[in-house]
Amino acid sequence: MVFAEAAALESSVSLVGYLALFVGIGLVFVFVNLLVGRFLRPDNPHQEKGEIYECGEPTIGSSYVQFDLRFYIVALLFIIFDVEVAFFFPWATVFGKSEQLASLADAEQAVASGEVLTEDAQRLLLEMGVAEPTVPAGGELAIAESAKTLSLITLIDIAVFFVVLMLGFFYVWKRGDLDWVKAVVNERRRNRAPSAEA
Amino acid sequence: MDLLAVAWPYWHQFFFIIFATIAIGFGFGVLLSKNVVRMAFYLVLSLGSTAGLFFLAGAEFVGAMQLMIYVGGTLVLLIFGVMLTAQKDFINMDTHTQDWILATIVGGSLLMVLLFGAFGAEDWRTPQDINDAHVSATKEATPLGLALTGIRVDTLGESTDAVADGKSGYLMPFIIVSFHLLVVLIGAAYMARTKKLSHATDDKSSRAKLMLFKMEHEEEPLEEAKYVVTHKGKSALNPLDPNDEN
Repeated sequence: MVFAEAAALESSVSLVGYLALFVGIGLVFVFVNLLVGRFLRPDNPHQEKGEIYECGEPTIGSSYVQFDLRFYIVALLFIIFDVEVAFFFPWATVFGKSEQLASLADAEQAVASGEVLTEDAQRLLLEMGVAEPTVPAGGELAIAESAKTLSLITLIDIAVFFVVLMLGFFYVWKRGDLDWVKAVVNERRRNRAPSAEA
Repeated sequence: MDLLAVAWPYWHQFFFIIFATIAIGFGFGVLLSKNVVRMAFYLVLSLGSTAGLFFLAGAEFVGAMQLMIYVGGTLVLLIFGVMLTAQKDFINMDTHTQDWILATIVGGSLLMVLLFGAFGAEDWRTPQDINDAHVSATKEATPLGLALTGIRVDTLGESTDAVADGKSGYLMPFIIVSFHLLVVLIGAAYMARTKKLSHATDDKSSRAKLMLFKMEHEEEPLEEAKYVVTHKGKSALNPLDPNDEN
């Protein structure tokens, strides 16, 4: 276990090392280009060059403007499905591994020969969090059965999770809240129609 | 430990110090900056390097989610929030002295709780031997997924059934989360209802009114009478006129 911890330590450090390497090279790339540009470009300042360019038109006011509320709503919808993906990811690893275990069990002696688990099966069970994988009482058949049950259960679980969210999505879609321009125009027309009759 | 072809035993500490410094430094940047947009950018960097700290602790799934949800998602929301409120009073925010005092009391007491909690746990103390750092050896996404679907694999080794039952899975919270997200989804759509927008146009929000005017008249057939330009240079159908029916 000490060896495993040391290996995990090394892998986590190298992961962070790559993260830092990519960020660092990105930063260096930006600043090197700015530096090179500083030495290469002719220095010939002019007042008109300093003006904000907006399609040749003189600019009006500040660029800090208030945006439409609906941008915020679309961002909020994005967050909801972002969080949903966060829950899908662990599920996908479980589903994939249990399916793999079940398909291993279908082949002869691919999971266990007698009382000893094969290397593949042991690795899969370790990755699923079983601390000391052993062959259960039923042998290979029991592993196959439980792996199939597990993949079915997780599939049902995620289906319920997804259907609940899809209900909300369907409601929002049906209600026309996702239509960008038409929603406003239609609402205004609907509001205006009764007053025109009266 | 070979990293980037350089064997050095202090890589772990080195990266910890780098990422912790970036996180704390830009955290102070958020505090001390007066510009909302810059605050949002500093928060991106601070949260991003916090993800680096999670990776360093071996919590790869949490680190990835930190990057995906906080850096990728919540920050987008924050920037949209900034763009929504980007009026003169909010672009440059001066923090008053009483705000500083209140924030110091609240933040300081939370920090004290965290520090006592962190240093109180035996496992969380700084290891004296650098090779003794506690890093989780298993990939945690799979056991997490199993726990979310109702199966706790880590309770297999529990001695009694009663203890194992006490550590049952999180299927119920998982489903509650989906309902929670459903509520947020419908709530967001409710907020975005166009009624809200037309309410806004009843006030003095001339910009929204102008936008509505444009949108309405894009779809209707152009009647020349509507766009008669008077000699003063104003449209006869003035979208900013408060007495107008539109």
